[in-house]
Amino acid sequence: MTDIVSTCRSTWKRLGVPPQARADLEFELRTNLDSAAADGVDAATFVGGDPSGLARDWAVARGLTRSRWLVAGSVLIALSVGWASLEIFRLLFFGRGNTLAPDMNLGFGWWSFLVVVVQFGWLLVPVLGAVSVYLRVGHDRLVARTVGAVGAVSPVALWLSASMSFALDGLGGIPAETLRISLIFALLLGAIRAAIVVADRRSGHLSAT
Amino acid sequence: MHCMAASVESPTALWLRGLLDVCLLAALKSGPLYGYQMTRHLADSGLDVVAEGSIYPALARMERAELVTSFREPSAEGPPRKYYQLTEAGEALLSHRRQQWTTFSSAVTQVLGQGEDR
Repeated sequence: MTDIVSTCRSTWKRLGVPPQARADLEFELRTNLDSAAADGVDAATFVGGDPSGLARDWAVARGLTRSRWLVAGSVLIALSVGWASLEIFRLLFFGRGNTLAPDMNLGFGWWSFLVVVVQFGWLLVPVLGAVSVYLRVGHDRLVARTVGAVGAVSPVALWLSASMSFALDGLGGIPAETLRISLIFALLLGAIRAAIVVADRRSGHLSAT
Repeated sequence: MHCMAASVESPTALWLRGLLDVCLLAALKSGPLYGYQMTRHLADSGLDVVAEGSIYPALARMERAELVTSFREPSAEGPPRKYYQLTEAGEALLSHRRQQWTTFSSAVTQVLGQGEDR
C-alpha cells in the first residue's frame, strides 16, 4: 500500500497539484485502502493496476492540474522554437545580413497577408508540434482543443506578428526582427491558449490553479 | 478508463463505464457513504467488474458538477473518513436518469428479444 500511495503522491506533485489538495487526495486514498485491506482486498487490485493513471485522472477530474504553468510553458516553447526556426530559415535562404521583411509597399491588405503566410507558414509546423508535445507531456486535458484552435488562428496570428514586427523594421537589426516576430506570435498563441483555459474553467471543467 | 485490465474489457465493464456515475448517485440515495462503501454497495448488487479506484474520478466530477457534496466525519470503525452525499441537483438527476434507463433498457430488451425469435 505504501508504494501505491507513494506513486500517487509523486504523480500529483509532478502535475502541480497544490499541497493541501494533495493531502486531501492522499487522505481519501489511504482511508479507503485501509478499509479495502480490512476486507482482504490488496492495494494494487483496488487501484486497478495503474496507480499513476488513477492519480492523474483523479487530479484532472478535480481540476487540480496547473493550467497557468502550462500556458506559460506553451508561450515559452512557441517563442524558443519559433525564433530558432526563423533564424535557421533566414540563414539558409536569405544569408547573413538580408532582411526577412517583404516589400512594405504591399500595404496591409490581402496580398501582404498571403505573402507573409506563404513566406512564414512553415513556422507553424515546429511551433505547433513543440507546443503539442509539451502539453501532452504535461498531461493537459485541453491539448487537442488548444492545438486545433491555435492552428486555425495561426495564419492570422503569424501575419499580425510579422506585420507588427516589420512596421518596427530597423529597430535592433535582423536578430531583433526575428525575435519580435517570434515573441508577438508566441504571445498571441499564449492568449488563445489562455482563453481556452478560461472558457473551460468557466464551464466548470477546470479550477483555477 | 485506466483502472480496467490491459486485456480486452468484458462487455459488462464497458456498459458500466457509461452508467458508473448514475450507479454511484443511486448508491448515495440510501445516505452518505465513503468511497469504499460505495464500491461494496455496487459489488453486492452484482456490479464488481471495475476496480474500486475508478470511482474517485467519477466522484470528483460529480462533486464539481454539484451533484454530490463531501465532508469528513469519524466512521463507524473509528478513523475519520471522507463521506459523500447527494445534493438536490443530484437527486433530481438520479430521478431523471432512472426514467431514461427504464425507457432505454426496455427498448434494448425488445430488440434483443426480436433477434432471438428469428
